[in-house]
Amino acid sequence: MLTPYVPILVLFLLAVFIAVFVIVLSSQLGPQKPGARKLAPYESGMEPIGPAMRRFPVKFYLVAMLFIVFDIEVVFLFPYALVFRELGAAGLVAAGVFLAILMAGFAYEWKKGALKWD
Amino acid sequence: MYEVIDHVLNVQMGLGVPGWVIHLVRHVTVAGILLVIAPLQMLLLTYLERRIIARMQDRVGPNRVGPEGLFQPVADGIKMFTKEDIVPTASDRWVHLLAPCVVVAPVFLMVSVVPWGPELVPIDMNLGLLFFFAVSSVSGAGLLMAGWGSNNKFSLLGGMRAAAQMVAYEIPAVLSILAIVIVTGTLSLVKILNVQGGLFTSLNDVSSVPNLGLGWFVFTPVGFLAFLCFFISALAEGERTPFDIPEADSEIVAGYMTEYSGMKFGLFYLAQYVLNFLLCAITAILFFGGWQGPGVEWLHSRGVTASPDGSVVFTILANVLGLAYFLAKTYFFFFVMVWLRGAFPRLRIDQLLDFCWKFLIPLTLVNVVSATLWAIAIQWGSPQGLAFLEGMGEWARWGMAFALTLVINAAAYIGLVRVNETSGNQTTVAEDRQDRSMKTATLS
Repeated sequence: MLTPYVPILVLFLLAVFIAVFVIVLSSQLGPQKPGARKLAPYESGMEPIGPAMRRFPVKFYLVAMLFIVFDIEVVFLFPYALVFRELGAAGLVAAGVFLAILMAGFAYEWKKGALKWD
Repeated sequence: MYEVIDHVLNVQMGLGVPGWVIHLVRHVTVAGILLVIAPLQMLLLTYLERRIIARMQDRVGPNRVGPEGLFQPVADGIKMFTKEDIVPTASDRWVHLLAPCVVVAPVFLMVSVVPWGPELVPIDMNLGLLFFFAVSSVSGAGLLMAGWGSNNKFSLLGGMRAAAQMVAYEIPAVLSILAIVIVTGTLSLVKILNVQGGLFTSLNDVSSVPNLGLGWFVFTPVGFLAFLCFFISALAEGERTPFDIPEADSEIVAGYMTEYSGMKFGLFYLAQYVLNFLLCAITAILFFGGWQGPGVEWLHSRGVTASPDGSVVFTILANVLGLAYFLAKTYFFFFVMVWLRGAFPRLRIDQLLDFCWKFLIPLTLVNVVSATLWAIAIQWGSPQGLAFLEGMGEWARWGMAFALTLVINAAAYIGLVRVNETSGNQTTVAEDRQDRSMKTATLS
């Protein structure tokens, strides 16, 4: 059952090996002349102001949360798409109710302004 | 292929190796071929993009290294190998090092399920399409790692934007392919390609149609809308203009790639171009029949029925012709990507996400409903309690499905355009600028 994934595993190992190999090779081939200025964070030539790893706008996390909701919906719809001939009318009704609930949630989100960026 | 390796190892070299070694040799060979082909595509695409965009901007582009500058990408590759590998002191060393690997490895995995010709399928998986998109979303994590690990404000902004854009546009992309999955009832890319024979209708829908290899899904209303939505989402997934805000060079230098140099930068570049190639290839496969085209099926069937000596020739010819069709379609879509880059300015992130949530996602959801109706009208019958459909002819059912989905999709498109125009987010540029300057400067 898992046999189609053996070549994938081989390919994955080879791909990771090549990526690491390329990075190691380039670090050996290139010159090594480090300096305090060169290794400072790049800020268009200015002195860096404060650290970069700090609090971040919540808007990006909101996008991630909305994504999870829709992604789960899609995960449920894929198996349905594969078997919907066998399930017939009953399956259609069930999927319709599922989609309708999701669409209601989506409309609520939209009206509440969760999709507004600013 | 198993027989060939078996013959070489056991008969010619007389090693007497067991079966699993032969399988392993086969897998490593296939993986090796893919790992050579993918970077070659990237070299060719960078060269093509630079030449085409130069032509559009009334320049010449790279034309000195080799004939017509064809070896320019190779020279660039050598240059990247010999550049200094800079790791900023403030960066998170391991995250910074691993990010390019995390971005590149999934892209190579995606290459493995793409069918290049009738028999040129590296790995025939019955979940190919799902695998493709599942693996593609892993690179988003790599981009975020690159942005966070660099400890640079530009990188962090780029990484965050990249992650937001990738996850947001993954939904319309997957929903538009869901429509195709509903119509075909399979996730195998090989099977999806096989039903796209015929002439303007898929073999799934009307079985009596001549098989000319032109039954592409783009000729149906469902497939057409899915194609448009998918290609737009693909532009965003591949960070192409007008959706290239994660690496918008005029605002945030190079986004998540700012602190990378040498071959680590090269790996990001490689991943991006291979991803673009794959997105074009998947567009060609799902909506434009991939290797399907006039003559392939005929040659292929001759390969099966002809005498043992002739069959190999016909099979090879069928695969070569199929490969040519596939590459022509794929490169055409890449040309469209470059064309869009030459023609459109960059969007802002709020416009980008608004367009996704308020236009593409509702539109693709309606398209999923259309696809369901299409499948019901064409494939259902008495087992599902719709016996009256069986009395109609194949063409009548097809026509009914076509008209129904066309009306629904057109209505959804017009309705959504209206809703988005009147919902009040269309401020003028001057108002918008004033609005923005009044707000305190925050990262966004």
